[in-house]
Amino acid sequence: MPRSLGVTSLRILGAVREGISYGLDIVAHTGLPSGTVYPTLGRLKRSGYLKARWEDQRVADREGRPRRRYYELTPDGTQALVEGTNRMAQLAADLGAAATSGTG
Amino acid sequence: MNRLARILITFSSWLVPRTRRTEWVEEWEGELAGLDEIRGGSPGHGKYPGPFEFAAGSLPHAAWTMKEEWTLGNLLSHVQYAGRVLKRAPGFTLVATLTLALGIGANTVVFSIVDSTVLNPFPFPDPKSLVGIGPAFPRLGQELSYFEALSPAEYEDIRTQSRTLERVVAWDMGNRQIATQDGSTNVFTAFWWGDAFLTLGMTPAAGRGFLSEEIERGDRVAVISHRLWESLFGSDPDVVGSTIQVNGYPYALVGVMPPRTLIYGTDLWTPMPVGPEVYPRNRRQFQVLARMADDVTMTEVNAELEGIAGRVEATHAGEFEEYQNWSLIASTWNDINSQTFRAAAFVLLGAVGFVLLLVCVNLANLLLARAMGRSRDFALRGALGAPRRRILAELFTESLVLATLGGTAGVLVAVLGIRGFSRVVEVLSIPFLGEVSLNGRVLLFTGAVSILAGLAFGLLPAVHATRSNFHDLLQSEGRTSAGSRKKHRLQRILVGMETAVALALLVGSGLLVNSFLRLQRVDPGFDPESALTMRITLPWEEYDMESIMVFFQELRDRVDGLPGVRSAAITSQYPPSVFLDQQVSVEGETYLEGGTLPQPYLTLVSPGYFEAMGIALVVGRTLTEQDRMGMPDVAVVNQAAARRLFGDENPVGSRFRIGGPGEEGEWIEVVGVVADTRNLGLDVDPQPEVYGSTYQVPGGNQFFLVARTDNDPTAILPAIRETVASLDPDQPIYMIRTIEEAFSASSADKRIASLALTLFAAFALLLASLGIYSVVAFGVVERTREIGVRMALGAEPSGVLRLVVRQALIPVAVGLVAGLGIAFGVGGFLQSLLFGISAADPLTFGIVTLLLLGVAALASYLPARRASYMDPVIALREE
Repeated sequence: MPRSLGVTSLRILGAVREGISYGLDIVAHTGLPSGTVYPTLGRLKRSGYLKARWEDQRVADREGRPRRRYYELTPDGTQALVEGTNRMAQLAADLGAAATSGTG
Repeated sequence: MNRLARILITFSSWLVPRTRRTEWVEEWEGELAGLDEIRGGSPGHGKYPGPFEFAAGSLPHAAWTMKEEWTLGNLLSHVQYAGRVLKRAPGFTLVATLTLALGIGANTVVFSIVDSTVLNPFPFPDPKSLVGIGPAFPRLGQELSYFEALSPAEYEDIRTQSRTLERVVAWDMGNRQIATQDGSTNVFTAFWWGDAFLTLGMTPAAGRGFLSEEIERGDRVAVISHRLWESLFGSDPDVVGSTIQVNGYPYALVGVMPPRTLIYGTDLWTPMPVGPEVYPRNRRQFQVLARMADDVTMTEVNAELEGIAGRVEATHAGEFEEYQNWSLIASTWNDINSQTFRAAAFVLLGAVGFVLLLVCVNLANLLLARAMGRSRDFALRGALGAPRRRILAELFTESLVLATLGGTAGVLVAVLGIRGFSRVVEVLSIPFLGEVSLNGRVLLFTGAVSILAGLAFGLLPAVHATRSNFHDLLQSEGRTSAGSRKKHRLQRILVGMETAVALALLVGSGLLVNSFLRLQRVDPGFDPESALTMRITLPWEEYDMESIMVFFQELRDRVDGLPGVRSAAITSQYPPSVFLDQQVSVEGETYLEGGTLPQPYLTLVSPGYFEAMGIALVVGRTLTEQDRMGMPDVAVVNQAAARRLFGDENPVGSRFRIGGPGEEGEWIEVVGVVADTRNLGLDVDPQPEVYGSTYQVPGGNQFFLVARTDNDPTAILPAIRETVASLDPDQPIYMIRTIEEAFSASSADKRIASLALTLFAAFALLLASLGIYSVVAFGVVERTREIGVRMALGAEPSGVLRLVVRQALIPVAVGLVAGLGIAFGVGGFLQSLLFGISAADPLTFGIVTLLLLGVAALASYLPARRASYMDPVIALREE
């Protein structure tokens, strides 16, 4: 049973789903520090939610830089993202209800 | 900036396991290049971090990657694998685990014991400044003593004159009875002048200590020990503040001492009821304890005490001749009280250190032999592509599993060992020994040392094996490669070391056992078998001198008549631990200055004592019932006292009196001489002892009853209890032991030392023979092919046998020589524990050397014989 994903993991999975597919871009779009992003990518890959693929060497050569490592969602990852997002939404709703009943 | 970022990434990459490093670096370089490109010098990319800030993330990423290799799942699979590997080699696993366990366990036990008996026997803070003070009286032939050695006047001299000592206190000791629901309990009691808690630096565990006015007035207030609080009052906090009955008088129980606050085992403390001034100047039965003032050294304290002793001598030596050249010496309370076991403790500490060394060496040897056997396996796996890291990780885990097994078993051995030791202490009733508890620091230390040794030697050969080229290894097949030669040399050195250490331990144990046997053969001068002793203290509050004499006479007569009792007697002390001595003067003798004044042990006995003890009469007569009060005072002396007091003449008819030459007193006539007994223990020559009659001389309120029985002496105890109760149901009996037990307790340090050292030596012998066996056996397997060739060329089996054994015994022989050197060098430390034997006893050295040589020969003979039976055809085919 995979453990439920935290906010950081969900944000990174979400970014990957939007097509933001390599580390640097994810750092820029999520605003998370690089020291968080890369280990999380590694963990998500190990859990089978992401798979990594190296950029074609020819593309890299043409652009005159080292290869990039691109990440994409696996079906498991997509499912985990949906479940996780729902769970967060539910949690937000519960918290909202609790806050309301608390004040009322 | 960018360069810094690259340096940081390179630095971080070192953490990444090598197998993943290339990919890891490539990903980061790619990202960094992308970042360069995007930023490209234009300032409009606020969302993107700066290169250094970005590259900073490489460090946690690298750390995470490294850690990922060591996740729990990973480790578990390593552990499982290690478990399987170890299970396949049960002999190796068992031996390694036991070696570790005994090494760790034995070390922890011995260190814990030494720590709590010699190094830190007391819980008192700042033990270095807590000192006892004792005198030496050369004029009396009395060496430095701290026990019942000072008089109240001398205590006052020290207290009032010393500037280097503060909080000087003194105490006397005696037996008191606390009333309980069923009768009463005897408790050893200390009576204090001054505030002991203040001097010791302790606060009571419950309640309070004595108030200064209570000490001043000598009030009836009491503090009890923690152990008495537990045993007598079930740790009931409500007893503090209540009133207890001590010898029939009400005492306010004001406090409980903290645990382990044992001053000579006293369980009850009260203020001394009278002041020091009421005692004569030579009534020496007190102990003095003090704290050194700040910034004062022991040398300064002793210099000052020398001055005080000098002033006392100048003032009082005319009246008390013993003050001529007397001295006062201070020593730390720790040192004073650890003297009994100091020698034994340090010998055991040294021995157990040797054992630890041996454990490490043997473990190294075992692991080395094992790793050598597996080096081909490792090389093969390496050639097939197994990462070196993984093989090392497996071996590391294997060593760790082994270490955990050994460590756990070691803790078990330590706990059981300490429990066993406490039992021994209890059974032998060894005096003045604090509680022994497991010392965690020591356990940690010995555990760490042996485990580190295990890891180091487990990994070293693996590192070597995995580094070597598989091709070379296959090439070296059947021949001896340079690397293997090097390892063989290491193994031989280890075998030599094991032999040397084992020999040193065996010699030590041999000497101790030998001297212990000699000690057992010493004639005690009487019959110590089938004799039960016990002590009774009658309270002065209920008995006067006359009724005490009546009580003990009656007790003696009644016990004497009990069925099963051959004879009974009363005595103030008995061998092997007589302690009451008394200065005497012989009629017509002028004691010139320079000679020592006689101070024999003075024992008061009832008629029948010599018969009950089995002490032979040499000349004259023993004490009879006719020697009573009102009749002329008479005494019996032992042979040592006859020589000391009267020289070579027949002493019967000669007279002496109690006290120094200047003192007055009744003349006492010697009526008989009895045989010497070992009155201070088997290892001390008989000391002069003078016997007076309890029927004639009032001798205090406490005596021992000695009952010689027909059968088991302890079986008579219930009948004696009944007899005592019929005389006075409130009087407890205590210090119940047979004389044999008393003798065995008096040589407890030697007994423990020889027993422990013998255990260590046996363990060492076992380890050494295992080491020799494994090295030879492994060597034979490695040389199977060579041996096959030799035999195919016509070598006789006996020749092969000789060859293998001879080669195996070369390092053993070197080790034996080294071991003899060590044993000779450290033998001196044993001297104080030896009896009637030299630390360089050639017989012991010879026997032990032969024994070890024999065991080594056997250990190498077994595998060698297997080699000599080999079929050369099979041997040659062997890969």
